[in-house]
Amino acid sequence: MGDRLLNTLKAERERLGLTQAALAEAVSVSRKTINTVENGIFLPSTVLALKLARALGRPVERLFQLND
Amino acid sequence: MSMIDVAERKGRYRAASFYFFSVMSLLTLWLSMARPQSDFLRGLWIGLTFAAAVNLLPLARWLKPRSKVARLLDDDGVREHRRISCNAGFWAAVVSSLAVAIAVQATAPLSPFDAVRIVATAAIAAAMVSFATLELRAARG
Repeated sequence: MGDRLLNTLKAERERLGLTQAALAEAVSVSRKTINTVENGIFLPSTVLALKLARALGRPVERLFQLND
Repeated sequence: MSMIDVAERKGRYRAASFYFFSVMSLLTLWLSMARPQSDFLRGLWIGLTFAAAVNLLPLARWLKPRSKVARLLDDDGVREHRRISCNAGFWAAVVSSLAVAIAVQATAPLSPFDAVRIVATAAIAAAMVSFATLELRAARG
């Protein structure tokens, strides 16, 4: 149960030259939500994870990985 | 100004208003217990606490389901903050009701109205402070 969810959201976002606000607009959430997901504070729902993957053009398992 | 910026600004105002509501609710509770004969203070406490409790609900999304800003003000992150803050409010209610139960054994008995007010104020204030703190922390860079 000690699994942690790691993510490469910030790196992928910066690769595309997007700001947090631009990514937030693309997936219809607030910038705060993007910020908390990037910092690992908030675990996104499956729907949000899939939306983020689609917006960043990456498979979802590339954005989020278990640290086990 | 984009929708994201508008939602961010409104979210900050909401967080600030939650701190204000929690302080005012605690203050009017203290004042109305210090002056139990004042119907005005009792009424003010009821009004403020009711308004605070209603503000914890996703009212904007219920009232304006098609508004993009209203949806941003109640997105996944905000719903998670609301869930955590309601949890904090629940535990504040449990702890404060136990504290009241112990206190009335040791000191002069409280009226049922005052006991309920203490528990309700603790629950609402804890939920509001928790929600506002989570929201402002999430907004920080």
